[in-house]
Amino acid sequence: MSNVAMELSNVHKKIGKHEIIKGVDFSVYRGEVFGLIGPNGAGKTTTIRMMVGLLSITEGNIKILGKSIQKEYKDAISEVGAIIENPEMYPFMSGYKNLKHYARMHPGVTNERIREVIQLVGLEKRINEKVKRYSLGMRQRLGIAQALLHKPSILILDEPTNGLDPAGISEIRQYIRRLAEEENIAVIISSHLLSEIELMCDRVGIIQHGKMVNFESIGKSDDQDEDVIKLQLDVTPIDQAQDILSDQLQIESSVQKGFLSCQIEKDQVPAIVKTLVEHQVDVYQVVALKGTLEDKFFELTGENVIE
Amino acid sequence: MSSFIKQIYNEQIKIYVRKPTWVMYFILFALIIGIAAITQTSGVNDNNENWEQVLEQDNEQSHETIQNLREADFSNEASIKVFEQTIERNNYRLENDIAPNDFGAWAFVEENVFLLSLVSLFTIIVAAGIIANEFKWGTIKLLLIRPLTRTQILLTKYISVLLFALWTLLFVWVSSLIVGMIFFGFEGFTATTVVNRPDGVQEVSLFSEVMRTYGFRLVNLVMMATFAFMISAIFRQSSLAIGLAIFLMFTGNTIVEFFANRDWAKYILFANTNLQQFSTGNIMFEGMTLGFSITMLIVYFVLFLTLAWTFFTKRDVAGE
Repeated sequence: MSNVAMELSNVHKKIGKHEIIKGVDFSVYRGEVFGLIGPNGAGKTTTIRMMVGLLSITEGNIKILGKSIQKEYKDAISEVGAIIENPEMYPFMSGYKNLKHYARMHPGVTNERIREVIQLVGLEKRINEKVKRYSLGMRQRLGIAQALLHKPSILILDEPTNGLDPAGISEIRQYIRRLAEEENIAVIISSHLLSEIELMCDRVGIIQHGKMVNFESIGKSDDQDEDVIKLQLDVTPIDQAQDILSDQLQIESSVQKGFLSCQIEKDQVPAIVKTLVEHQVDVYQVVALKGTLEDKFFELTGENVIE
Repeated sequence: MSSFIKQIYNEQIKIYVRKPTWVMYFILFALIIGIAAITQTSGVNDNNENWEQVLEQDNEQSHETIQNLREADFSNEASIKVFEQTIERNNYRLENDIAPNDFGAWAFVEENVFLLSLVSLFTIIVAAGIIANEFKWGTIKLLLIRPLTRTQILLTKYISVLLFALWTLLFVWVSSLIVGMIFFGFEGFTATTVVNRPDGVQEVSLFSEVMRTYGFRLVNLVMMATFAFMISAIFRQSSLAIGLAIFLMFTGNTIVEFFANRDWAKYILFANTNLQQFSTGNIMFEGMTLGFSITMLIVYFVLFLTLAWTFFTKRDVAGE
């Protein structure tokens, strides 16, 4: 059986004469957290709204576990839990009554399951209060709770950490990772907080001007086999170290902000350290700099021009 | 229970959990009590020994009024007909020796049929909000991404509006009956009254006559609620839906009168909402039949719902 949870093929969206999405193709797999990022107006929200059937699809197809969102809506949407933009709930009802409301719309959601999700998002104490008295963070938690009620295979979260405090963000992040890893759910997250996406996601799709411009895998450990890395050395004396590197190892380096930096291949690192130590240079710190998602993002999208 | 039935229950909860709805019921109940109190203090014309004399006096006055109306520059056939029917009823009572009833709970319920205008107003408010509010609150997104089609969501909302109209109508009916019993006593289920029918005056059960009166008003109630519901679905804005529906509710008859001399006037919705005209024989336009009006009502009804459905199911739910 295929592991594809959601598949977008050649998706176009036209509103009037304006083509907002110009042929997007990608798949999201079970057990992965997929981040959708892009500048404002790039088409993130439009893409997400098409995934859940709020917007019609002009051309192309979106399949959820092999079922078309257009032709087999009920079967497809049953597998999806989502927060679209802000987690808006009925303000005049309590958190619990809101959850009951959504639970009635899905077959087979028991009261035990409702209690379970309330516990998961940590809202036990305030669940009987009216939603109009909730903070944005609490609404966000309630939003996640309603998305999980029916144990969906795909979870779509638009800005899931918006309005949460640092402790809440970290909690939600861990929770999302656990859902993907333990429950084998495909999680699709959109955000403009790039550092947030970097910490949470396995894979990222960058969307710009209605097109997917790149996919990035984010290495959780050092399994990234990048050949060339940027090395930053905190050494004294710094001039002498620079000479040693160029004389002994033919490595060109430069001094930046009191550090010695150079572009090298990864397997050269031990030789560099060894050589420096042998020549009586004091080594305080050796840092291999990874290109951050932010660097990559700006490199790809350049300036944010809304068409 | 199927998701569909559960969703109707959801919609009912969303109507009845809100304070504005309680206020509506409070207003209705306060009015019923108030009307009863005023009616009692101003004195009800209870049956007296010389009811024959009272009816004859009433007849004389009616004759005079008809005379005056005939002499007036504008001849108002509809008004004349109303007085003629009163005379016919009075004569029927005098001939058959049927004394008018004491003023009791049934009479009170029948008088309170005018409260159904208020029920229409409240139903319009609920119908106008039931879709538009979901957009206002932003909850439409979470409502639509469920294993129910948009058609089903629309239908549960429409049924919910009709249920609200029904419950509120029953509330007025039952409250009036109970309050009427307390204030004025009860005529019983066997009491009769005298009414005009196209084929002459008849004596009928008072209970069934009260039911008929309410039943006929249901037509207008359902049509206005459906109209407000349609506007709500099309424009996703409750104020517009409330405004338009209330405007039409109050000006409906004026519109019909304004165009009364045109050939197409009988095709106007409001010329057909009063089905009671076929029961009393006091018909607005010549050539109109019950079948014609029912056909027109069905045409409008289907038109309203089709428009609501088309806009609700086909249109994108984009960001605000």
